[in-house]
Amino acid sequence: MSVNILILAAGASNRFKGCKQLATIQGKTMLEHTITRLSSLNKKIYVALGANKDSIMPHLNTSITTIACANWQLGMGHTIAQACEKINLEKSAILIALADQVLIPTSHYLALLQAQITYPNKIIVTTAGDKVMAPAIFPTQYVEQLKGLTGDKGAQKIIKNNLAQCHFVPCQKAQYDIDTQEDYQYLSNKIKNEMEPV
Amino acid sequence: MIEITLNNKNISVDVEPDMPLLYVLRDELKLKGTKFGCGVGQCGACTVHLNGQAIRSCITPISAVNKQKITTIEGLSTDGDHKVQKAWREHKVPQCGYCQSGQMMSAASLLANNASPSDEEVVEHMQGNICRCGTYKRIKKAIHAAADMES
Ligand code: FES
Ligand code: FES
Repeated sequence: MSVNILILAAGASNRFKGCKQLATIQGKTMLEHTITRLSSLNKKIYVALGANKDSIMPHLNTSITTIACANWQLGMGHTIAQACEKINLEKSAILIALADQVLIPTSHYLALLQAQITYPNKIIVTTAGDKVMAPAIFPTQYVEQLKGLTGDKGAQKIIKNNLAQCHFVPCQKAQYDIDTQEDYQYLSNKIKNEMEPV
Repeated sequence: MIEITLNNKNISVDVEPDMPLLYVLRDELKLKGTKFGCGVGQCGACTVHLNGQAIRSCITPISAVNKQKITTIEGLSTDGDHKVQKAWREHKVPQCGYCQSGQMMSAASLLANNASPSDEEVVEHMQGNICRCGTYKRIKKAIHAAADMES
């Protein structure tokens, strides 16, 4: 089964008070960092945009396909559902990643892909401690459920309803995401030592 | 020290953990079959296999593949007789040739997972490998031909 990649970057980042996707860390936007890591996989990358769409677009290179999600305000569930309608997933799995989990190293994305090859029919899910989270890979048979997501509930719901069908890949660094300016300051500092420069 | 199995040989290299795999291959190990195209993960010229999967080595830090299996074009077969290589010769695919080691590595990983891909599947899988010379038609033909070969 082939794999497509979807990066969610549609949110308004209200709690951040500013355009989170374009906040830079070591001279590159968070979105660019995530794209670079995922580009290692040599798969097609889609970026779902909503709020700040027009200011983010010029920062994306031409190999990236953007999906404008008109319903982004209704929440992440709607964004995922809309994006999945626009990608041909008849025979492929989809790796869903977030733009603001900036500490996740390339090796974790590669490990998810490896796991997908080994367990093509399972949902491949990231864990940190006892929490399940993105990034995750959903095989084609879950696409209908992804298309049915609504509101604020992301794909977590599908994972929780199908725990027996999941394969877990731990990554402690996945637990850090950026919601507020404080998170941003904290992680920018932390990153200087931890993030692999690319 | 980072240890990898490269083309079926165990080796260790003493480099910075964030050095791209491509630089390790070309500059440290002098394996020049894998090409440097864009260096930023957009063209596929640097494609190698990680445990059989096509990955882009220019943006993959060597530490990300520690203790794993890497195959380059030099190790795809012993005598250049992988079915993809045979089909490439038969269909005279390369023009300038620069992108072709990456193209063949991508094609080989496709066929390893999908013995007879449809046209659509070929296009989807190969989308990350750019050819400035526009050899796409021959690439597609050669992949189908390779799929039809007895391996
Ligand atoms: S050289 Fe690696 S993708 Fe272009
Ligand atoms: S043969 Fe020249 S770039 Fe592909």
